[in-house]
Amino acid sequence: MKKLVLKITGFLCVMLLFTSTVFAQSRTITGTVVDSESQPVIGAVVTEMGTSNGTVTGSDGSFSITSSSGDVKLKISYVGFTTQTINVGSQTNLSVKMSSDESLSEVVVTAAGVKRASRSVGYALSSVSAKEITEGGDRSVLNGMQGKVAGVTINSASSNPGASTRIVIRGVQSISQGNQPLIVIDGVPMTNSSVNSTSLNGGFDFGNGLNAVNPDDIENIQILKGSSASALYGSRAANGVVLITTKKGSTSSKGKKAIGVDVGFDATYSTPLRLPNLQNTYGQGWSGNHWLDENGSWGPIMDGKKRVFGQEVDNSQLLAPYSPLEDNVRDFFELGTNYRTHVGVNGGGENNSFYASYSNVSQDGIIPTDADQYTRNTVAFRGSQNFGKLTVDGSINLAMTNSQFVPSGQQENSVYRNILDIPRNMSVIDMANYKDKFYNINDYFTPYGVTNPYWALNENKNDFSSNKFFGGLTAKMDIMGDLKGVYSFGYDIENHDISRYEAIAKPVGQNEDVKNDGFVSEQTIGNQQFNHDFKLLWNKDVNKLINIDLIGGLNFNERSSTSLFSSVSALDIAGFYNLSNSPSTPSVDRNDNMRRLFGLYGVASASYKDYLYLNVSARNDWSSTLPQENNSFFYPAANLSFVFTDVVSGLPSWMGMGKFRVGYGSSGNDAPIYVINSIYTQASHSMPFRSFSYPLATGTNAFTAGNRIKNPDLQPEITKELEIGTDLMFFDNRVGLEFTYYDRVTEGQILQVPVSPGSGSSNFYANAATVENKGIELALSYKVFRNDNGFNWAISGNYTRNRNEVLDLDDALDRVALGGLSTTAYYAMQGMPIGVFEGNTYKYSPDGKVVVDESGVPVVGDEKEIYGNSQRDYIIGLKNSFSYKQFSLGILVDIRKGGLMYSNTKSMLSWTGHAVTTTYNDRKPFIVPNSVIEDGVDENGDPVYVENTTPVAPGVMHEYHTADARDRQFVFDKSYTKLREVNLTYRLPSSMLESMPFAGASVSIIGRNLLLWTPVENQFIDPEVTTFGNGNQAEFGEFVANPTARSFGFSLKFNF
Amino acid sequence: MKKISNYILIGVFAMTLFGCEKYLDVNTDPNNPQDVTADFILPAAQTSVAITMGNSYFNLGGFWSQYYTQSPTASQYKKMEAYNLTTDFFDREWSEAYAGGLNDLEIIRTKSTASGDHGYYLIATLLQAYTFQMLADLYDDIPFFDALKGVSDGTLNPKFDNGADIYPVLLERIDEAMNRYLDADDAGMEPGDRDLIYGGDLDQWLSFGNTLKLKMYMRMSYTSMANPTAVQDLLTAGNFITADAAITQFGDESGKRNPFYDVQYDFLSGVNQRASNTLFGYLEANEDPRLGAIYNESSAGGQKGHPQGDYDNLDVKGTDLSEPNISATTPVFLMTLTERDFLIAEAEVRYNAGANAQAAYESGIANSLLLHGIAGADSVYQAGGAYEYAVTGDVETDIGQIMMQKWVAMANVNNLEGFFEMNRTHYPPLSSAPKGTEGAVGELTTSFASVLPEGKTPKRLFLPDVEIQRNSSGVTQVSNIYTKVWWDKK
Repeated sequence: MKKLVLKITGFLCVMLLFTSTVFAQSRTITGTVVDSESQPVIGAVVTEMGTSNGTVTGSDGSFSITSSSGDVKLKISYVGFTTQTINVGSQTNLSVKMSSDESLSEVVVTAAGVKRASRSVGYALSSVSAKEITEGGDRSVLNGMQGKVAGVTINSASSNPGASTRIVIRGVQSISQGNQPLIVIDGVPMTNSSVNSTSLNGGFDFGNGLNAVNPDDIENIQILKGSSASALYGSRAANGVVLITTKKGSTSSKGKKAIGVDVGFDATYSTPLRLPNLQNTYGQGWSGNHWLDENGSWGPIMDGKKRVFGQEVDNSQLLAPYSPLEDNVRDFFELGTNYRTHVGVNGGGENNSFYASYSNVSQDGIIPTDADQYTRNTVAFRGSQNFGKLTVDGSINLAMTNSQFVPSGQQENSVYRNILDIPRNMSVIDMANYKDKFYNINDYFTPYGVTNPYWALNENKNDFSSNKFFGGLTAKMDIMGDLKGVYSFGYDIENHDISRYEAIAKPVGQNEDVKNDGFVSEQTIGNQQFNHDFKLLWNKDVNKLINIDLIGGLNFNERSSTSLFSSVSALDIAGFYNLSNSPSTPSVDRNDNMRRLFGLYGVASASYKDYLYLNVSARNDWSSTLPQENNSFFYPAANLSFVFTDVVSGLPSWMGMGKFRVGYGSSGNDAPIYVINSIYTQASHSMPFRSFSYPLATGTNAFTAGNRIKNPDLQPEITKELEIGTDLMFFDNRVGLEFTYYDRVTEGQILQVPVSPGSGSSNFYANAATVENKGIELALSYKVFRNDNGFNWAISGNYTRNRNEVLDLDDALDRVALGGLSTTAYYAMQGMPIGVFEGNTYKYSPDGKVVVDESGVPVVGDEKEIYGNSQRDYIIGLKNSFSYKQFSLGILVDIRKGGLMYSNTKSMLSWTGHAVTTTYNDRKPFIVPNSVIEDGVDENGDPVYVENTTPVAPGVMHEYHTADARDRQFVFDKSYTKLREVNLTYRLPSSMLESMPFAGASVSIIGRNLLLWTPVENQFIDPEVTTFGNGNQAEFGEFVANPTARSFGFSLKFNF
Repeated sequence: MKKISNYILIGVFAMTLFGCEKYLDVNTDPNNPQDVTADFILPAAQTSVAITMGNSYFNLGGFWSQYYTQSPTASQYKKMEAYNLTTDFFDREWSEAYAGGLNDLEIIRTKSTASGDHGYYLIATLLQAYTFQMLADLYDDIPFFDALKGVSDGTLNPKFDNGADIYPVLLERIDEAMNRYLDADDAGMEPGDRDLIYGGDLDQWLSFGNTLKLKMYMRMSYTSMANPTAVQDLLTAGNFITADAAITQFGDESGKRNPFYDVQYDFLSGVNQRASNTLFGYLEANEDPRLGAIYNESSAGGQKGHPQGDYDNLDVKGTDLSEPNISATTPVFLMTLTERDFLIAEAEVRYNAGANAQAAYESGIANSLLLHGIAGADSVYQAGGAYEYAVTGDVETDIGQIMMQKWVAMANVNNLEGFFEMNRTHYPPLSSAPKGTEGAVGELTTSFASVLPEGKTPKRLFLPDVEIQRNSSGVTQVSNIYTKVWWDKK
């Protein structure tokens, strides 16, 4: 702590130094510049016309200018606002309200919640407007941002309503900890963790915290991508910050109360976007034979003749033509519905303002029944009151969510997997009556680990119900002179309840192995976050040209959570779902955790005239999750912005504004919670497939040493980042270009390092890896046509290219498994990008030929092969906007190129013979080209290979298509191009509105994810889906994931 | 004014810093205890050993002792039958053994030494010695002298030691723990029911120590470290176990059952293990009443065995073959009376001119029958019975009789011990018939699926990947699994 005291003293000294500057006496004009919402405008340029006299506004929007002239005219300009000229006359204290200039709306919120002109900011800025977020009609704020921001990758995990969305800024930098950015709403950090996640065995994804935010409540989103921008937000901002500014009411002048009302209604409908391409030639059977209990289509060519199918029940059997049902999978799905209603009211008086809203989202996905539905109601209230020197803002938000999720994956209760196991000549929808004598679980046609999908869909349930409260209270106080104080308190309280059950299934006869003893679980999760910020802001014009701005602050952050999970794994009474209905001992797990962070930060900004801006910030954090001796970490940042077009003379006339920026910053990250100490745990022993767990059946409890060695030397992770870039405007703002290059290195990544079991332990946490991300971001805008009352066409695009590499990995870690499978593994490895796929390959003879077995099927080699990695080559978002009079049309295309993914859908459909790829060579016998077979050994004991003459026969065709040696085929290019959004809007002209009660109205036709293009090797899935949660593993791929959906519909908006 | 504001500032910062350390002191995991006493660790340590020995290694012993064979209509353990194991095959069991049971036992040894709880020290030391011996017998080289010191002194890469160097130290440890307990005025905390194996009966544990020593001396019988005097002393004292050392506290619930049953029958539906003709044929030929106790009838009805490793013969369905009879509540046996008896019988033959061998032999069979719940079948070993003990005076012949019975007695009881003793004494003998032909009754069959060179059978396991990949002490993988371990000298 001693170090810190020195730092503080230094900080105070700097403050004192600048306060002692004294000015010459003359006429002083003071004033405040505010925006339309009465928020201070910082960095606005105030110049006395006809002189070189000038200043810029400070952190509270105030300015002070000294003039010797009597008749003073001030010009007030600020990027993003219409420049104003004011005849000062005899006034000495001005209040200037600026209105935004639509074409240049470039006011940005920077760290510490301060608004600045974009020209003053020395790092890449990305913002998304309210209109952009809502125009696709999606309930999720993050989904609404897809394809719209350079440097940001957003993936919605699945089409299940209410599922979570993953956002990664400037590449994956942490191997083991989360890579999700910090979400800040009106200065208050928000809990954005996902509730449960999916896995290869199913699992449930009930969405992330940000899902609770109504997109219509948002005014603007800023994305702070680099460390030089985000450092002030503390260690939690190591992955960037998504700064959300919500809509506020506006104060109105002179006591006149003004109320505005917005009403919106969207109705969209969804259908599956991509279903696997299935073959329609071969019917039920195996090895070329028509066998009635097979869950595959390796049978004969379908001849259209009537044949029996299914089991014999009561001496009868079903009969149907042996012909393909091309749409039997598509027919299963229903039209999904999605209704969104929003009402917002805003208003205010001279000293106060308010905003209140209500919204409802009601969604039922593409899977029949309400097993995939999502309902969200939100209520928001924000108010602001000014008491002279004190202004108080407060906000309360409540979101109530209820949803059901249809699990997928490989397990027996996976509805989609059961569907994909149905032969091509069998109707899926005919099975809807799962109690029918032919379709019930006893008499279902196949015993091979699958069952009637409608049984799984109707008899198993899950229910997620959640309340989330969040908001804050901010008090701003003019302490004295140039010093202001701000205290803000933020809260975020979530309570989730999850109930699940699985029905008892005890089939008799051939299906007896597809049994389930029943299951019930109840889970409650509570997350709380409290945040306190104390800030002092001080601003001073040192002289006419130099302005100094200082901010110092303290931050306390506390996050805690509790969870209680209870389950029973066998049930007694069928159809009664309660923890009491079980002969088994309930398993109960309670988990509490709490982490705290204390931060101290400062920012110093200086500007010279209005073209050179230097911003220096520093923060020191103390985190509870690190060892006490090492729990302090300091990280400075600085950035410089230089508007060279204001200085360099002789530029061509088409050159508009040009800015060069450079920033360097570092940020820190603490350790996962509770990992530095050794503990004991309730005993549980590892076994294959199962674990042996205490207490014993006889009631004895016991504890075992946790297998973690404590590490008191653990240090925080530190990220260092350099970014340089330029923002350019040409041809009267018709063309804009923003370019950024960044290089970010995260050192000392905290990883679990495995140790030899012989030591008696299994692991410890250590600083064990270094990862680099470097890349470029490009944003381009081009207004092709610009006619106020005519045809407008604007193109805006963004391009992101990120290169990721694990620079260093601790010697004890040969590689870090990021999940994956035993066959196809997924690693972080030194010298390679995060997310390396490694799997089986062919066995080769010494002369490089493929070795096959006696049936002609390739043999798997002993060595594994690296297939590639999951990192993208580049991402492009391209938007075309057209407008003509009252009509406007926006088309957004999202292009993602490169990277591999694993697809179990392909693997499974290759096994069942449903995939179109299984018709290779018309299923006629073929010899694997250039193959050899082992034929004894030579005198040295080495195998001898001879040319293979055995063709792959129909009987083993399925083995060929799923041979371990050919596992590489299930990892394919995940590139895609999506027609992400289309929005056609008609705004009612004012002439029509006169006879109506509203001030504005519009009607839109909207569509999202309408079309999808993928490389030809991907015939199976939408590559955006994942089955593996929200962490790094999410990029691994999918495991029979439910299909994604396209949606289309209309939207109505009114305001009064 | 400005000065005042600065003082306020300094005040706020100072107050903050003062409370800072306390504010951040919240990193103690509330969900798990930071420390517990030895009595809460002992049951976990005991079940850890039982779960390791009574599950995957038990399964391995079942196949390799030729009690079980892989069903042709399932495939889970083909690699075991083919002796074609990968080097990661027992990673899980190795980790559970070292970072579970052995480590917990080491903690109990440390804690009880400090607290003077000599009963706990005795149990932990004996059980740890038992486990180290089994691992050394299975892998030949294991971490021992440097092992289990990751927490105490930061040794993360323990070197490997050979069983020949480990055995003498284990024997010393057993003696030291027994003497410490016997010499103490106050044995400290009573284990009571915390001892799942003997319910806190420390006299039984002292006997367990002697029986374990006898077992170790017999294992060394073909080596230069054989110690007849020590064995004679043990036989003279005669203080061996009078109750089976077993974990019996199982109930019919997932995760609380007999581990072999939970995994093989409840999870995998019992599709893999089937009666091997090697044991099945022997029992059948001798009309052994244990046949119906060791094996359950097939699901199609009736009792039927299958040639060892003949899983490619798809003409035979798994449902037609007998299955090992293990239930949800079958105990995991660490050491049994029947094993004790056969150890004594062998020792008597080797080092005491066979004085009490017959009695011990007969008691061994009687105890085996009892263990399987079979009454009134004593005629099998009595005069005229199939297993009548013929005193020949020829050590090899007499040991052959004893070991054949020990092999039978270990089936479904301690399969792995059956495998070790088979390798040590060559009973049952390996048939000279070529691969693909079954041996005669009472002979081992070369597994039909064996990938090992002709005449080779498995003698050990590969060192687990989980250890050799993480341990940088210079250990290298063994080249095959048919190289004999140190005591395998016959």
